[in-house]
Amino acid sequence: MALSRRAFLACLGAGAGAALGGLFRSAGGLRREPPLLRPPGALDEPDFLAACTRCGQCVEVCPFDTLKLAGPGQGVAAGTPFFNPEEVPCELCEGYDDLKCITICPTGALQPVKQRADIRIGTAVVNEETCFAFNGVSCRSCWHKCPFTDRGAITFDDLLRPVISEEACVGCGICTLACPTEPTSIPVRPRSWPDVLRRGDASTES
Amino acid sequence: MARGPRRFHRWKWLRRSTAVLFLVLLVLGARDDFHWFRGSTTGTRLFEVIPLSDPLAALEITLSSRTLHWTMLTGAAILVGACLLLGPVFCGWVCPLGLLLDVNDGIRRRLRRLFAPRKAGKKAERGPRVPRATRYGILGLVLGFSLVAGVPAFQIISPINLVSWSAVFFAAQSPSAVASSTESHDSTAETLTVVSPTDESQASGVAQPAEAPPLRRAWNRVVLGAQAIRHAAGPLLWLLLALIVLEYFLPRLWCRALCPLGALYSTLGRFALLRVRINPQQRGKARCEHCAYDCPMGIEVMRDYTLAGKPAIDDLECTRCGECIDTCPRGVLQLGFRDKFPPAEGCPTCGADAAGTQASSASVGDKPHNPLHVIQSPPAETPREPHAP
Repeated sequence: MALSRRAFLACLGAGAGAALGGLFRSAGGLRREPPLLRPPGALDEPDFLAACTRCGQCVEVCPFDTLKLAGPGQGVAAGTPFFNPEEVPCELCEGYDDLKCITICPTGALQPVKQRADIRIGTAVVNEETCFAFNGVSCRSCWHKCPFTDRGAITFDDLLRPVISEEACVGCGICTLACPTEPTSIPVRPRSWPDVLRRGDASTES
Repeated sequence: MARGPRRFHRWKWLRRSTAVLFLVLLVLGARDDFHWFRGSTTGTRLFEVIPLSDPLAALEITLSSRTLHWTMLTGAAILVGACLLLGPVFCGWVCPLGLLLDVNDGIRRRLRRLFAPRKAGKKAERGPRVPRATRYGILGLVLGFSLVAGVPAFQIISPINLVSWSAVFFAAQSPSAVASSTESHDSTAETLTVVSPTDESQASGVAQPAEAPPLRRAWNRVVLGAQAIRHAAGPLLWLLLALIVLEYFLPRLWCRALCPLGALYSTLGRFALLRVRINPQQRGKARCEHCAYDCPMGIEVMRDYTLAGKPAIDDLECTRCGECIDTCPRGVLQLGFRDKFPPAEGCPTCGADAAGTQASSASVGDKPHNPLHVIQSPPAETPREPHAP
């Protein structure tokens, strides 16, 4: 009798939860702007938000203290790992056998990658208004630090201005930190939420 | 004060110790030189091998991602197995929020005794009851939401997570790291300068001049940690504080009426073997009701179990916290997998055979001999004054 009341309430709650969840989803509750930079191997943002248990083990194992845990102040992203390359970029576990965060993740939120060059955290974007090389000052800081120059992640055009290859850039943000301008002239654009990003592009171009 | 002598509450301190130990291990596990206890309450990894997963988190993630994540499910299976055997012991013995609210409720009871001395009996400390079935509704709500919205609803708003994240992660993160990557760079600089104006290493988060006295430095660290937590937790922190205040008027509101994790553990632990057992000699006899006044989950131990002649407390909500055992002045209750009460003695007054069979078969209205005969002194100590019925 008491159990049936509990079961009834649970079913009632499930129905109400499903309805609320539908409302939440259709109202775009999963969107978060600006999007966060996720660890290597992360699923696309909506799938990542669904699969991450918010346990923070990736944050703890990160050997470079790159990853931080988002707080409940970040809405649906609460408890998920992210990083800010202007403080600590993702060093791609340089000097280690594996990518620590991917290895420890208890769910499929962080998927294994075959090699480091396959990682797609995002793409670096040069802000042409503040970049030294675009403004007549010779600077190759980003190229110097980039771990994928051999694959042509950063090359230079005729006027020695940096050009990012979308195919080769993994979005680690090492160039972001290396950039001498304040704030950085080469931020990383996260991979997910493409339409949100396109809007971001438009605002930087105008 | 109409209370017996102050006795050492063994189970209370045991269970508080395990909860503190768990939290301390989690905090230590975040350090690189102690990597045997990674993670937080939703998922932990012991010795870098054994996964443990909060069953509710695992259920939510499975529903929201619609995928089976085997490591997580293994971890959940371990804890579900433990719960099938031990019951919802997580609530009383491990949960960091449970620890916080337990201490909070202890303070409430003390204040009650201090400021309302006339009504200061145990009965008055109990406070109003809250409906306990609502948390099953919330459990359903959380699961339905997770399935449709595609996001583990409870994990995002859980105050349990908030407490463990704050202790393990936020207190150590610099406020700027906690905020999003794009905002709040200037506000970081501000906060850090407020704490220690002479600081130069703002990015490190350890903002303290080298020559400051150790006490001052420790204080700075605490202030920084608190700021980081406030920054990270956002509005959820105020909700948690509101809950803590609210529990002074509705005792154990969260654990009794709201927590979906407790509801899941209670459901799983329905047939658990570990139980609070009732001395066969004392079944079916009315006593002081201290057990009911002190029960964190509001179980009527006296009325529904001892007096009803049941061998053990089989209430779904019983978290095996041992509070009733601690408070019982007559040693009626025991926590265990089976009865280990001393063998029954004959009734000292009328000589009736007070073996378990007779006592347990006795119903309230039809007593084999006057139950007042069997008010035995507990083995170690006698209550100084008998309690008014």
